[in-house]
Amino acid sequence: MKYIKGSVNEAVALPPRDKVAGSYHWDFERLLSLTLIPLTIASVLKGAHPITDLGLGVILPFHCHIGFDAMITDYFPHRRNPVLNTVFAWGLRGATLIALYGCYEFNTNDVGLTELVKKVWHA
Amino acid sequence: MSLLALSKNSSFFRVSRHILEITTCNTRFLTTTPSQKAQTVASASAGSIANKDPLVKTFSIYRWNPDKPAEKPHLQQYQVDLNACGPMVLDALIKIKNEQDSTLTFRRSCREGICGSCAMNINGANTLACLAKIDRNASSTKIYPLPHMYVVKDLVPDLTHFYKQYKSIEPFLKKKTKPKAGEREHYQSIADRKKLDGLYECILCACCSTSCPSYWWNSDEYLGPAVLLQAYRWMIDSRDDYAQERREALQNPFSVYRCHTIMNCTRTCPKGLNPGRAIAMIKKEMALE
Repeated sequence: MKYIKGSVNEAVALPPRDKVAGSYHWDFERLLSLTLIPLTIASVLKGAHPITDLGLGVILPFHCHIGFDAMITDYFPHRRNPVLNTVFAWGLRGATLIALYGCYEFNTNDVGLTELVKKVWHA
Repeated sequence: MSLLALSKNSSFFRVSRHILEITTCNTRFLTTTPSQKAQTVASASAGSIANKDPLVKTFSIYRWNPDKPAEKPHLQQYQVDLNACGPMVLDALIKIKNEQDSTLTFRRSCREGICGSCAMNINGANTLACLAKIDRNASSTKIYPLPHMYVVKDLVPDLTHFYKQYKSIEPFLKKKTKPKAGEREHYQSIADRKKLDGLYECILCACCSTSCPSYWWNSDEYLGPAVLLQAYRWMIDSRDDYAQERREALQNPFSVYRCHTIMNCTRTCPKGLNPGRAIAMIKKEMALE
């Protein structure tokens, strides 16, 4: 039984305690999802506005980051794929930063996120 | 007057049914003897096993023998006459083992859904073989061991890691104060006892944990629905003093937070419990700490 660590009667060791990676992370995740609800409703009802566009441009990339990060933790956890995990984690961080900068540029120099969705919707 | 007549009537019915019961007993006894008279009596009584046409059904059962590790696991077909078999899948398995193939290996004990031994994957759903009715209309039933577990033999999965995880949540009463002299019991109000309903019934059959995709991918670190339901069972026990410490021990990305509310656990639980809710309650209480 190579796949059993330690003796048969020992309890498994729980991972080291880390509140930031535990409940705080979960709280932050829910908080982002909750703030997206009024932002989306406001954009749908009232159309584009610089403040809602700015909010969406910041919160959406973070929201997506946490979602993709969960996928990396689920399917490529560090203890099983240390190399791939590191590559994907840093790749995701880079992609999120680029997305944040892109959203900011798009909101300030172009039509903004809400207008974009509107145009794609009617296209 | 009419009431009296009715009571008389019903007592008459009772007597006649009694006689009927004796006759059925007799026929059942007589059908085992091959006499001409017994044959006619047996054909007269409806519902007798010998009288029905055989209803043959195929059971495809996962086989793997650790003594021949080079041989790949395969499905083996067994034909069972449902009219000469009990109603549950476990009855069919026992019948196959008794009459056709004694090497077929599976766990079973109580045959009434209270021990959790016969947990297996029947037609794609984890359940207890003793609580799963045989589908009389479908031509075949597929039986596999619990998914994504190491197999010891045939339908027997290795639950060692599952039990080691169960041990890690300290499934026993923990007190901060010693009982005073003369105090023998830890009392609990009826309302507090009610909080344990829907949790204490869990028999740790592992049907829920092995149906959870998150548990498939991360079972070495994620505790899984069955163990988390038990963890919650001790957290809300009014007699236990370590609820917060128990939650504190789970503060990491893996023990609880690999649950993505897929809810396969609640769907599959053969006891009708809701491990998904228990995990949500743990998350809710941890969120405010």
